[in-house]
Amino acid sequence: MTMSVQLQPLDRARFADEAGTRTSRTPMRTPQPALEPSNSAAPPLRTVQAMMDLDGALADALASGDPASLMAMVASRIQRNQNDSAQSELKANHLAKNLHAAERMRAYHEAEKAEQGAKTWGLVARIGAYVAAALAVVVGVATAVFTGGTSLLGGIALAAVCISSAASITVMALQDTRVLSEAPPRWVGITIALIALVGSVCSLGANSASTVAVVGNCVSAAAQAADVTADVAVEVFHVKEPPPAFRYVTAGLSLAGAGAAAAGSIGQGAQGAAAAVNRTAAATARGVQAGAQAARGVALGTQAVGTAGHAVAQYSAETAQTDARSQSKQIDQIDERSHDVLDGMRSVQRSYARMLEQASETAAAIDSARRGMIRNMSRA
Amino acid sequence: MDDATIIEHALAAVVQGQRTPAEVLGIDASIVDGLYDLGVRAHDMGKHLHADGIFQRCVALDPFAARNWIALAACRQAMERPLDAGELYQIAGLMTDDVRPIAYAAACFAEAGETDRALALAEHARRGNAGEVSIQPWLAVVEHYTGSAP
Repeated sequence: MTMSVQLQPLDRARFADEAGTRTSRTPMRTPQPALEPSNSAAPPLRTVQAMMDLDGALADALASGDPASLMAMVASRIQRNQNDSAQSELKANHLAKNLHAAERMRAYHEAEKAEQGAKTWGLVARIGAYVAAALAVVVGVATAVFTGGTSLLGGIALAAVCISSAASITVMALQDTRVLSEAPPRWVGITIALIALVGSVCSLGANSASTVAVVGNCVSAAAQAADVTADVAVEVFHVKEPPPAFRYVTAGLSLAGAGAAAAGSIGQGAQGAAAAVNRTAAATARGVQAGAQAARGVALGTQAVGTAGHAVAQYSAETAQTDARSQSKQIDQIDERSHDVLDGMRSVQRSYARMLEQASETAAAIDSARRGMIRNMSRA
Repeated sequence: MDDATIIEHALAAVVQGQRTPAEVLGIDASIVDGLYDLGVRAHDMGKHLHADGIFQRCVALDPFAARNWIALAACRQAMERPLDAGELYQIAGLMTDDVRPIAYAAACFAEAGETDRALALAEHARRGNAGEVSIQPWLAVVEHYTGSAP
């Protein structure tokens, strides 16, 4: 009788564990990292074409069995690539240059426009200055006539205002009619401003219509004094010219003071008209004076706005010109770079030409050798 | 300049890492990317041998890109050649500051029975990146095969 024995598969792990000789554990699969496709890939057809080109060139060179031909293939490919890179750089430089040129043209156009604007605003400022000077005389005379101004201070103020205004108008007219080609010496301006200041101070003493008017006149006179002082300091002590902002501030204060004085006079005039019929003449006088002051304020405002507009327009013209200059500089730099690239390209082209010459010489030599061989063979 | 000098200069630029062979030969970066994508597609379709060939070309054209080495290693891993895969992941680790290829290499070496190398690389990957969740599955493989705990 035979006994059949059922053979069980050997549990190696259990035996190893029991024997204490286990060296490896149950297999565990190492996870694979996910491969992400790239974003800027060429289409498959183009990719395959490019690879086939490269393979084809290599295969041709290898098929010749000549190491020199393989080297020539690789070298020509490298050189062609260098040439292509240089050409694309040149193209990019050209594009950048065109872009900068367009930018420069735009900057020049802006500068032109800004200059035109500066001229317009300058004209406004000039007209404002004429009107202000003329109105100063009118206001002074009207005040004297209607108020029967007989005081000494009033007389001095009127004379000073008339002289300074007439001098201002004369100087401006001489400049505008091109009789004077240059700006008058600074001392002329200082003298006129000093006379005007004297007029302002005296009119302050002579006319005290209301507190507002007095304060306004004071502010106006102080601003004028500051302006004159700055001019004197520049002329006599050769200190640095104050910034344009200083002129704007003094002009603005002078304008505000004149405006306040005008407002004060208007109030006084209205009060006088309502007060009594027998003081009608005086009230009318003050009303006229107030109107004239207001007109002068408007004129001064026009002048100030014109001056500010002129300054802003001039600033933008200068900025645009600076911009244009910077664009020109950049174009010059691009030009220089393009010249460098062109030099490089020419050098590559020269070596290309040399290579072609060598290749044709080699081909001629091979041809001649082959012909010689054929001759020898036919003789043999 | 003769051919030898041109090639010499180009090789010098490649060796110094200034240019890739693809750049030297005038092959656009988008072509290398396209080749890489073709390899990824083949790999995803399970054609690992084909993908391996493509990624070898990618490595030849741009050996400084870690992703090319990682892709080649993944193919070797899929072809159940963990030792080769570990070596290639290790090279990829030299091309990038990212520690993930080092963790992949450690896992592959552990699977291949190269315990010492696996432990050393796992330690390197773990150092300063203990909280990095993305490398944990690979470190777990190292622990499984070597019986080590962090």
